[in-house]
Amino acid sequence: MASAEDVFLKYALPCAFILRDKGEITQAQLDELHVCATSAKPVRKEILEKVFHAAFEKIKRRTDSWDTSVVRRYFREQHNDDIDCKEGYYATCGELNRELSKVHLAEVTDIKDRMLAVSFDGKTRNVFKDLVPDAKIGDKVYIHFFFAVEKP
Amino acid sequence: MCLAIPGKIIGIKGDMAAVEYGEVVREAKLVDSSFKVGDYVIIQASFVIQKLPEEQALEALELIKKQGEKNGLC
Repeated sequence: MASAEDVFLKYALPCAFILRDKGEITQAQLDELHVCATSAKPVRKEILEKVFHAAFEKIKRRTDSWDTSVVRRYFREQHNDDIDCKEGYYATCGELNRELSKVHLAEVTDIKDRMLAVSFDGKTRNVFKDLVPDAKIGDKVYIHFFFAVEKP
Repeated sequence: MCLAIPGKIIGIKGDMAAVEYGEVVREAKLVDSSFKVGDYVIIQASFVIQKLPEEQALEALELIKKQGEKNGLC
């Protein structure tokens, strides 16, 4: 069974690449997060809280609980609502970033090497299948930035 | 927040592209052969993964220039 930490890391992994690009975490830290996200290796909550502090603050503002359903509700619903409300940063970040930052439920239309082609709301996107290696054409997957995250 | 920063392809060799971000040039692998020199693109995980309409890319770059990037992700 996936832990709340496992589920959180899958949804947050795309952001870790951006943090590496910005120099806020090292390549070694990114590699470690990627290994944890794509294998059975557990990740410590304290590490996630440090790297993704803004998300934890927003979850804690809403609930004292911490389990897989809290994490999924945050990423699949509440985070998208914050973006739709154009709260804070999302007022000025531009439509491109609002679109990419949201979690969408998409359908797999093609598979090529490490990528899945997916479609949602009449749009298409290429996403990495690292986190959903068994995805097949026709499957529904949640996507965040350029990663397939998990099946419903 | 995770901010997707568009870059511009300034060279392609095989399946590798040189992508320009202001004064910085990064190399990244192309996910397919549809990309051309001059395209505005987004890189994720060292792959050139998505082409952007020029208008959208310039809008994003303008926003980044205007506000800088604040901390706080996801």
